[in-house]
Amino acid sequence: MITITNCFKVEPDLDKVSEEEWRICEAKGEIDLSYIKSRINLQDESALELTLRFREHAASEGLNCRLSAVSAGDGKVTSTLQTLAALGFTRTDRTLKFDDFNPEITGEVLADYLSNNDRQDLIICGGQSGCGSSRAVPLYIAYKLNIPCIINVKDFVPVDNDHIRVSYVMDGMEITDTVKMPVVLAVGDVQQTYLRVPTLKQRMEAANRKIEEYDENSATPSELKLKKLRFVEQKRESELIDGSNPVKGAAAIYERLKREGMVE
Amino acid sequence: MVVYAIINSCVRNTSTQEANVAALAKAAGIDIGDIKIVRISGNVQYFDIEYVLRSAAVICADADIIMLPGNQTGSRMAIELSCILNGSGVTGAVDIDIESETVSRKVFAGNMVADYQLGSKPWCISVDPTIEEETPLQRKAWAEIVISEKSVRGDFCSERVIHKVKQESNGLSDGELILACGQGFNNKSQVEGARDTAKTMGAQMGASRPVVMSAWSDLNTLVGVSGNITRPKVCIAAAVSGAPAFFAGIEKSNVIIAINSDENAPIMKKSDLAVVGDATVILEELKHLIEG
Amino acid sequence: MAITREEIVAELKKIVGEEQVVTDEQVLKESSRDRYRKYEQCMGVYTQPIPAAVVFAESTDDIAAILKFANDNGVNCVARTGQSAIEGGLETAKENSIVVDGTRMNKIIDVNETNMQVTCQCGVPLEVLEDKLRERGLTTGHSPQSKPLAQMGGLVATRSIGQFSTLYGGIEDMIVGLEVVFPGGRVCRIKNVPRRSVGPDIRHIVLGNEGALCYITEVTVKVFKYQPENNIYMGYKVNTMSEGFKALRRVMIDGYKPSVARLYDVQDSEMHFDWADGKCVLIFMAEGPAAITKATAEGIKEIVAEIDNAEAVDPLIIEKWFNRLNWGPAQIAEEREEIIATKNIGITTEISGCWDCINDIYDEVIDRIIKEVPDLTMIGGHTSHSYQNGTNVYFTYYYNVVDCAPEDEINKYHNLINKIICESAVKFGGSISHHHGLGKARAHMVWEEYGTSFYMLETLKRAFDPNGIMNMGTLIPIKHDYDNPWHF
Repeated sequence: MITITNCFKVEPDLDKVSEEEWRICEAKGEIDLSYIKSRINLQDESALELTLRFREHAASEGLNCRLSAVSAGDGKVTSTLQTLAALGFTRTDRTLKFDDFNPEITGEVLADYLSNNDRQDLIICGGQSGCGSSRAVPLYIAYKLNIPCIINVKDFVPVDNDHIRVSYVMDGMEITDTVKMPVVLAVGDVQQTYLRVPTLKQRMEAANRKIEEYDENSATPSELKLKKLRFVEQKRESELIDGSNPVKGAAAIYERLKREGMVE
Repeated sequence: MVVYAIINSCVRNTSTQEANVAALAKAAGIDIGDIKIVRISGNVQYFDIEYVLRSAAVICADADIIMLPGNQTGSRMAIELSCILNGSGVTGAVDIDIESETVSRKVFAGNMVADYQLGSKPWCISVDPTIEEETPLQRKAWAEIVISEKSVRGDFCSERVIHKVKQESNGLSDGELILACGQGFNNKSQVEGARDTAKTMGAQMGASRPVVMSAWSDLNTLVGVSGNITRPKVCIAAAVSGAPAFFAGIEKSNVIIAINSDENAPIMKKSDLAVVGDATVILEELKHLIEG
Repeated sequence: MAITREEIVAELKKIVGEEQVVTDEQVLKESSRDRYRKYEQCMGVYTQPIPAAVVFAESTDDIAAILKFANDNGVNCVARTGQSAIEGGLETAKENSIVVDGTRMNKIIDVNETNMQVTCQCGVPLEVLEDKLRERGLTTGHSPQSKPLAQMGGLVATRSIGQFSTLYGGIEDMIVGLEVVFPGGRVCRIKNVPRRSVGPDIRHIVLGNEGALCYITEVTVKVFKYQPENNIYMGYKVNTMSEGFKALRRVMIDGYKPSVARLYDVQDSEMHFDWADGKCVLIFMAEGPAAITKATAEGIKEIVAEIDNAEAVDPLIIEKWFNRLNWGPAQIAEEREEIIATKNIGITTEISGCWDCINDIYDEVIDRIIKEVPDLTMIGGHTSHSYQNGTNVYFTYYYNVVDCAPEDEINKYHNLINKIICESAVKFGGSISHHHGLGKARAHMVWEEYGTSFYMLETLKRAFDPNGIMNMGTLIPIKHDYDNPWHF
């Protein structure tokens, strides 16, 4: 039995926040994006879908997997955990609040939760969140649990009950390692890995699954403290051209390219 | 202040890493000459971090600050070293204010900058990959961590295959003229159409994250903070909204030309020439003009 | 002998010039259908006859000349502007059809603030018109979710309705005068008056004709003062749809006219709102002069207070959600990639019914769809347009396409679901389409929908389009399998 836990985060869809709204956050001194629709962090979503594909691959090799998922928060987190239950994650847990600005705290919360459960062969998460973007949480989890961590993972497949083959990219190099578990995998950018959608039937079958709450944590708070948030303005002296007539629009660009010596 | 910088010299060209570290040093007011360079060297393509970490922790035991480049190796080392040495780990730093013990880094997909109070030393800090300073670090290494063939793989890895090594010069990173395509293109074939125009112009082709993640363009064409940082004379950003994470990949351009059907798209204010229109047809027209 | 494709193209080029006639293969393929066949669109499959040409008209004279040619030669014409149609209305159902595209007729002709009217050509995008009006402190009051794409001709042709209809009404309440072209090239103008009693209201021959009777070239619609500073948003979590429907009815019959009055069921709430917590969501917006919005909001709050356990939601959340509701090209492109990757697709079908039957229609649809449709991943709905005597329901449903070729998906899933929804609507006395139009998708139930009044629709069609050249298959099917009407 290969035991796997996916840690994931739900975040506001940052593409939907306007410049004005960021300025308001700066003026208020806090980020309140509660009115923005949330979604699973994109790399966490890839990680979840890759886990499901791993399970399918394992089953075809006669290997069993037990999948668990953990996150923090409510609202979209609850509905995502319910979706994962419908997709066959046998444990769906909620732990203490993550800290958007302090990956060490988030790492401690998750490491604490993981060490209170059965040993997991694979701990899988997205490499980077949209909010903090530190790329640090999987590393903190791995360090605190004293297991290796592979980052920027593209794919992973089972070899046997103790080993997997992991493909990842490191500073431009594409590498495939055969590794002995346990290991933390931090998934990077993987094309076309949207999370599959469970049927209503699958949802109804999982309807009685409870989300277990873990609110114990013996972590010490980190020393890194957030002092201030500032909006980043990016602006140039822009000349605006009406390109509704594409010939005119193209001509304006062509002139500029000529001026810059890019074309004859 | 004891300041170290750790540079991976197993790769032939370390200039990007050095420019990265030099930029943070400049922002922090640290004299380049005062930085103790620790070089990782060896006749190997790739190595596992754990060997380097132990040696680095010993060498940098007296550090106040350890600076690392913003690539993947540097970022992970910053965190792992901070754990081993019981210091503060920070990735993607754009500035340090030593006096107030504050570090700044981009958050929320580059829309905001967060200022943090640093904690215990050593401060293990990797740099935001988009900031660069031309001044190279001093050539002489303070210390060297030599990777031998034997110590290349961690114990947990029984087999390793290296498929591809990065080209010395990536066309996008060095290209003088770049065409970057965004999600405003409706489908893969429109992106291919743009690629034809890029070819005609002699431009390198890049793409924003949504385009790459939909497999309309290869992953290695990704432009942005987690992909290629470009430095062209001219960048044409076509059908790109211009979010900070993408813009970080083109902001070093001398000239930015934007094409977008939405006059209010963020990219329009961030460009030198902003053309409001349909990128597909405008690029097609541009191709005709260049072909004469 | 029937005219050939090549002859059609040659003649059109003579009529409007080469530059206005497009025969690019990819353009023709994409022009053979609309978003009704969304799955086929995503998978790059084309099951409908490919048109002979897309011709871009630049004037009413162009349209007249094209329709005369088409009428003389039996060429089927599909009128098109914004391409946001989702019921098959744009499918070129006959061989060698032509698509007559009015997007280049995009002039805003006149904004008359004294009469509070705006006149524009059929190809003016609604969002462009709305933005220009707002610069002058005015609004059309028309805000369908397709606003970023839709253009005025299509909006009138489909009897469209917008998010603020509870105050401003649907397009039928906004339209003043029109210019249309009939087969044979006859141009008719209906003048702009506030109201008249000079026989039947002939505008209603045009409104909702879906291109089956005439081509709309120019429209005049009312405009209103734009006073968003007085907007008041309200949102509530309620336990049941039945309680929600009752509250909506009370708001309407007590005489309040919020611009927005919406009720989402549990499943649809979950898709839209992270904070719904397994409840139904009731949303209102009051708009207009300050005194009126205040009184409207107070009246609504009193009515909602009578619902057991109704829980108010922060109005700012509702406001922010509302401002992000519309669908533009970026969302459509993103959706397509997700569909290709997951083979999970979401579609909508809307119906209407009086207060005494709407809950029955809703319950039966949900019940039947869950029981009868394979591979379903979501079914839910909301109501967004209420009246004195009833309301609509907008069903949203998602399914996985399993073991099914792209060309078979429409019958295995989409038409099956539409069948269930329409059967339930008709059974309880409701209508099979509230605002998306019959198109070709639901035309197969036109007889059940109209009953004895079908005679009136059929006579209009015969009278205005005797040669059968106007968007054949829309409103009245041309190929109908009486044994399997929902298989097409």
